[in-house]
Amino acid sequence: MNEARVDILISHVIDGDATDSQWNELAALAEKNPGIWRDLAESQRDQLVLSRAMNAAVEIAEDVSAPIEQIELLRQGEPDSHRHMSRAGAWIGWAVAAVIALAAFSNRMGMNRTGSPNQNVLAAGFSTPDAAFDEYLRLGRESGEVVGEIPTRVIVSSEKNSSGEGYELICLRQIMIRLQVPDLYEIAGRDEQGQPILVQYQPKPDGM
Amino acid sequence: MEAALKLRPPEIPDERVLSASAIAGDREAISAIWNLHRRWVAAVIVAYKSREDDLEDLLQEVAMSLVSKISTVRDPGHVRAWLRTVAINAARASARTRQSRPQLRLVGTPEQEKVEPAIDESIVRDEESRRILSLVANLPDDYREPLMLRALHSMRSKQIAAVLELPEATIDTRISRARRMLRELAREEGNSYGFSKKATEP
Repeated sequence: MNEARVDILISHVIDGDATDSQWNELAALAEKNPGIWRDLAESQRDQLVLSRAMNAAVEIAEDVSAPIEQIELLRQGEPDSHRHMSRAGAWIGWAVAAVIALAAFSNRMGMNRTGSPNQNVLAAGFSTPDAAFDEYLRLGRESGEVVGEIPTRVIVSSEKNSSGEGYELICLRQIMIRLQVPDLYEIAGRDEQGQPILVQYQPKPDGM
Repeated sequence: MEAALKLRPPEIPDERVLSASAIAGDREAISAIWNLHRRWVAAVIVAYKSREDDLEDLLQEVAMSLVSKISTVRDPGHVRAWLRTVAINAARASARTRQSRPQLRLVGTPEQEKVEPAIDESIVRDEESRRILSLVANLPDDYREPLMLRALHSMRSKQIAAVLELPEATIDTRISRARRMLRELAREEGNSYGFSKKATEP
């Protein structure tokens, strides 16, 4: 008996695409070796359970959308889209929100892509965006709103300079801030319309 | 006639056309491509990720790569295969990063590492599903991945062949062999899994 042939026939039966002649061939082989029926039954069961497990496991994919808006935010003002995005895992999730916030903040502070001061920065009395940013950190620390800046910068994209010397990097600067809120909520799931269901969150004693 | 036309369901664009539009930067096409492929991408990640890595995080990472890099794909017919490579790379890179991090060890614990199956069975809830995933984790990559993709309702040999860039006949052979290996693993486990147990108990 050709074991590989039996495996192929069993597979066709399990997948529901066995032809009449394949069924007959399997039945003829099983007449000589009844253990084939057991193989078929076990594999059918395996397939059912695996199918249920896999389809349940990948259900979470339905909640993950293509982050087009976030990417476009990062590319604002950069018509050349052939940039090389670095691994984003470290800042996906909550950090995507940080990217948006930082981008919005950067715009407010008058930063632009080349780092040179724009008119708003100059009008506010700062010679460079860095000076304005440092002032934000200083005032934030004084008021308690800014806890600190995380020293590690996450490289989002890199591109060789057109001059051929050096690279231009787009980096994520992460600032830890303190917020006062009346209540905390977490997303407990989604309703039938796909809207998040919020439930009140009780922080644990360790503060998380 | 007009009423009949209105009742006609919206046309689903050909996948190749959709892929070409996505490569050209069409936002809606990129979203549609992601929605079309994200379930099997999740299955590929499950097949390759380490048990500590979060499936949703890795999916977001692949989605991010899709949006930011799909313009680099030259042939619309290769989008599936490209997405699979991105998914595998994301899963493996994350596992490598995790392994390279210094690990704290409790004083007095032995140095020997316990070998864990690659698949995180905790992604499913019932005991039977966990058991089969732990068995599948022991299959070689070449057999595990097509078997897991076939287990998704929508994946036939043709689609799996397009993702793995292999002939359909090779996919069928690998899946049939994987099923035999799975049966044998279940028996080695003492017939404690699923039908095997019920079939042999008095």
